[in-house]
Amino acid sequence: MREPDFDARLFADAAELPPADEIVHAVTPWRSAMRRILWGFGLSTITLNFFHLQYLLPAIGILLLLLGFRTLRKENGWFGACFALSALRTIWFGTTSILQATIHHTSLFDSEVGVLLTFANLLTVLALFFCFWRGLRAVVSRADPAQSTGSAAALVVWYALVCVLAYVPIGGSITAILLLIVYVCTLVSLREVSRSLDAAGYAISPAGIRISDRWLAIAIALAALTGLTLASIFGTSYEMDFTAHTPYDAAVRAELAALGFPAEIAADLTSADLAALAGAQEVITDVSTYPVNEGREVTTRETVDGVLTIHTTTVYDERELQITGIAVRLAGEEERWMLIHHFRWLIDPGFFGTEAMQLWTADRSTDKGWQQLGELSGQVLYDKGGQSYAAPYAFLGRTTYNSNSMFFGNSVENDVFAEFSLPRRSENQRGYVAYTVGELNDGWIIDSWMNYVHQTDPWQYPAKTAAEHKMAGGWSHHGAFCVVQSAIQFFPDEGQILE
Amino acid sequence: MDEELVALLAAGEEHGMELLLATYAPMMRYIAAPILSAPEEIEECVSDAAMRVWERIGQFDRRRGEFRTWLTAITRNAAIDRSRAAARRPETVALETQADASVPAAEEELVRRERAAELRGALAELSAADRMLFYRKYYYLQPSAQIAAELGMSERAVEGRLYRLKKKLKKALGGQNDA
Repeated sequence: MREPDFDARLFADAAELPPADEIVHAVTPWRSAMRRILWGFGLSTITLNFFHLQYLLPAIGILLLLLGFRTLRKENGWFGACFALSALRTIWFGTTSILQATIHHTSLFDSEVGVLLTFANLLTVLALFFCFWRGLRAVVSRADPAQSTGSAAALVVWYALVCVLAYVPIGGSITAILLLIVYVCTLVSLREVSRSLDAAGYAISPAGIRISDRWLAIAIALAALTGLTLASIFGTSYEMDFTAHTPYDAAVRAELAALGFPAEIAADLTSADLAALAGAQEVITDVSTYPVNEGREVTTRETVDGVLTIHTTTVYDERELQITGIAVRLAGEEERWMLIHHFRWLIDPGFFGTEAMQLWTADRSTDKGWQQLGELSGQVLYDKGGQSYAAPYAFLGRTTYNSNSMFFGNSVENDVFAEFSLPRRSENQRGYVAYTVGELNDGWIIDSWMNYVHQTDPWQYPAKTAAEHKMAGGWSHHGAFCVVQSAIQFFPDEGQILE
Repeated sequence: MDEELVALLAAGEEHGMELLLATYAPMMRYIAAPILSAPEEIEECVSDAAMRVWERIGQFDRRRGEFRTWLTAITRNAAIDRSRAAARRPETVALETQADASVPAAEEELVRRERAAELRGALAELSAADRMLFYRKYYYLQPSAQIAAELGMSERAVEGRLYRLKKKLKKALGGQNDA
């Protein structure tokens, strides 16, 4: 049968088969777009903070809003504005989502421009709710002016309240729960309005499109995935300025070696640090190795006096990280010690993103015994092809942050952080941070701690630096990081490490 | 609301007609628009269909479907009758002359029923999305551009899907696979 004949047959036979109720309900230019818009509002405004749903659901919601308003964009000016605003919101959400895959997002969003843009985004959402209400009102006024669109207006008020409460928190979780209940009720009411507007919806003329919804959604998803992948590859490490390194001042190093200073660590020191150590009087060292792997569990059974005891212990076959604490009493009348926290990777654990050292300096626990003198110093090094390379830290200094510890509660802390990245193809990765303390009162312990934070997993979202992980209370194996703690503790008068 | 409307129409209340038009006129225009191009034709079609509802409300059987579904069929047929009368769609007229003949020959009626049964079977094999597409194209007589806009697809994609749909139907209805 030729195609025109077959078409004619289908036209004729279709007249004999009136559609079922569900088809009649579905053939409307309005319902599909409205359903998308309502789901879009629901998913993009409420966040569930688990299983990454706080990122996935808003992404789906924002896409649904874009597609929904794309259909209605030519119906009236308000819906046209909704489409423009939802497109703007899609761009903002996509950009911020990609930025969050980099380690730079915190500094960007905390900047003045970032704060302004965040505020502008809040206003965009508020404007979207407002335009939606007015657009709905325009549709309704054509069909049934008596029909209420109060629930859409309630959305505007609700969101304005949320914005105010975001900056001026009042009432805590009770207010949040109340707002959530009001929001769900509003959406349910809006769905009812949408249903009651089914008849009016037939008067709508959907806008024609060149790219189908499916391809548009696929294109946006692909663009987002590409951006996230590139951000994860290129935006998760510090730019380090590594240059060839040759050990400095052999005479001072020989002098230090004679006092027991590890020669391989002396070779890592900067010329300024070596110069400061010239004429050193005493050296105390403490070397330990630590695992960053999770080890394996070994279970032993022991029967003592007829009672079976089962012991389960974690055994570490490899200890990848060596940490050396060194204290050097400097030349001079006054008692001054240079404290050096040095790390060396004995086994390459794989380096992704960032690493950090957090120091709890000797003047931290008490300001009576010791005070810090001068600046922090140090560098990070690695070998490749028989050549050593060294670079200053990406950041070395004190950082003030809010700490929320399960042991000590909320507090404002001020700690030393050394932040850096290491190349993946390298050997003998190592580095150190040094600082000098001077005696205030005799008899006080020198007690200096170092927390080394190693990134164990390249995939984390949003991306955090090792230092941010530590500041957020990260401990041991948690998330994409592993924390190793080490300390050098001794009474200077006794000259012996406290075990 | 439909129950109230049907009751008013069945009782011959004029308010029923007002309610019918207030509630369903946009839907009736939507159904008539792809079949009749001129706005005045569409408005007259809506009046025709409303009159048919007024006259035939006794034939409405809730068990066979909702009032909206019945109204859809009445409006579509009113639009096709008007189109035929205006002779603006010769190809449709040719089809509907046969379909709407008030006293068809017994043999023609038998053939028509057999073909409708075959098509019903073939449609049952289609996915819900394809079935919807079929009704939009062959029952509502919507142009591809309208289908594309309402389904969020490009016209080309709609044409492609219709082509595949026809292939499936042709196969199911025993024709050659050359649609």
